[in-house]
Amino acid sequence: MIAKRRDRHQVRDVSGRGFALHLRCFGVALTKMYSWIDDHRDAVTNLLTRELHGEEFDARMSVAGIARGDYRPDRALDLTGAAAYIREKRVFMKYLGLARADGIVTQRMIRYVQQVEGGTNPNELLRQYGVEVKLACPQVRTYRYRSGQKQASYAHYRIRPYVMLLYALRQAKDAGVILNTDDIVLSVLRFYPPQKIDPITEASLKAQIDAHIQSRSGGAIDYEAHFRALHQEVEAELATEFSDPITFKQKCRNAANEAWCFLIFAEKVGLVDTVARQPSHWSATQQEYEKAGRRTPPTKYQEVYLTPIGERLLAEADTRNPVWFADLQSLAESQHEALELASIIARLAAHEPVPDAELPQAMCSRLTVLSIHPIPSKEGWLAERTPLFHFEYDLP
Amino acid sequence: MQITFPIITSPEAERSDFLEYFQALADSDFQEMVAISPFVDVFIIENLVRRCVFNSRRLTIVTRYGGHSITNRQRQYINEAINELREIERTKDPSIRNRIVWYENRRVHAKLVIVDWRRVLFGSQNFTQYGGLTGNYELGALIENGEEFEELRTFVSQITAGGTARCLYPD
Repeated sequence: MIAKRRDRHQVRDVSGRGFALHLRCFGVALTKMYSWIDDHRDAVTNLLTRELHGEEFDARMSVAGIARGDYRPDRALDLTGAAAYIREKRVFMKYLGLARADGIVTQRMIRYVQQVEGGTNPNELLRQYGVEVKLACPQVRTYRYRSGQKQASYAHYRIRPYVMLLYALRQAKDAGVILNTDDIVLSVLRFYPPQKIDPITEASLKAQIDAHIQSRSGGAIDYEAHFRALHQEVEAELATEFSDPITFKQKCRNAANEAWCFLIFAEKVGLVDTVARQPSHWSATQQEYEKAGRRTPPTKYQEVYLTPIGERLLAEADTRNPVWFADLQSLAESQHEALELASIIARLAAHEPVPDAELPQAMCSRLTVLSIHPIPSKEGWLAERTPLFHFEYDLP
Repeated sequence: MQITFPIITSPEAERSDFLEYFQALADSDFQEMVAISPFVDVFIIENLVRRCVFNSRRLTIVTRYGGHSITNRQRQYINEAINELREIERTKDPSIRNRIVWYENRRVHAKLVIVDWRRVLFGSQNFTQYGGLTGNYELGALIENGEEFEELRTFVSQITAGGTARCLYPD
């Protein structure tokens, strides 16, 4: 039996929200991921496919995965676990722009398939897509975390998570600090609820990252105290007190696991290098616990380094101005106008000059709100800082 | 000119070669596709449409029936597909209005797929899963040319602009 989407939150055993952004979908060996992308491609491009989403789709993908041995359910022998796993991996594909919820075959998927069939390693492409991942891209922006009865999402985030990771590593390198898994949780992946800072922009997160690195450069820090503080924040937010000591361990270990999964993709595509070590201090990664008769082991503690490729891509990413459709939608007065604005931005993003007649003053002022400053060229208007915006990726 | 013949569909021999060639053409890096078939399974058309959103590809569809002379259920499926096209145009990619066209023509009997006017897959098969593509005995051929088939353009424009033709999308 396949777990229904609407039921899945009921079976997840968590006490409120966690400490870190949930990007666990990036934690998979790429060779395995290639197979999942391939399965997905087959399913969405098959001319005889009737149902592109829903339980049947999940079931078909699950059966293919299990048959290949990619996923071994450690729970009951049904498809529930595999289906949940598949949904997570589809989130990965959506983040990378390879898949869309509506089943539209994306150019990115077509380009990916061409590379694979041409015998080229697709890692370079995935790396490029990875750096362009937006949180939350419209395809996954309904992703929710639980906070008591209240539901919230990452809709208030305006960051590119992998760019933030690379930024943190570059800043750390400049400061002579080596970042570890705990640092990644406390800086890059730390979750800020909507009421804390709204919206979370790259500039605001960079300030948080800088502050963390500065405190690190002053010498050893008390990680446990930092995580305890996070725990207290969650308790205050939920207006509750977790009596079970396991909850703290669980949250720490979960957050560290998110960071590890997040790093797997970055490492596989060559953005970062990692070295696994045994921590010499208290670490969230080492918080093993036993609950309901099942022992959850420690997760991987790593030191993370920036690679030259990562550094180059970060420099390129710094020149782009990421734009979120939700922002331009809130500026536009109608859906039609939002699409018109999106079309102009997509052209500017593709370095396509926009003729004077197509860029009236009203549109210009809206672009300025989005930090897009048109500059004149011979053929028409171009953007001073090229936007990062693709129709197929950024439109819901 | 390169000809692939025969392309066989045989339920007994479990062959559906036409479908395989159709699939390969749909997966190719085409810029323009024309799909003509009197009878269609709407989901096949929808799958073609999904390849033509958020890009510059052109797609022309011609079916024999659209708004009338078919069962209520078939009419419902076609209407749903047309509505989906309108919805995509309204909320996602307005440019499909200039790139995707769906005609009905009550006199059309040809079954063919044209890709970039250089490759033509044709035969006796309707684009229906359990009929033409997998369920019947059918025969077809694939012709590939280095240059465009100019006469085909004339043929298609006659089918789409003749007195018996009616545009279902865009309206």
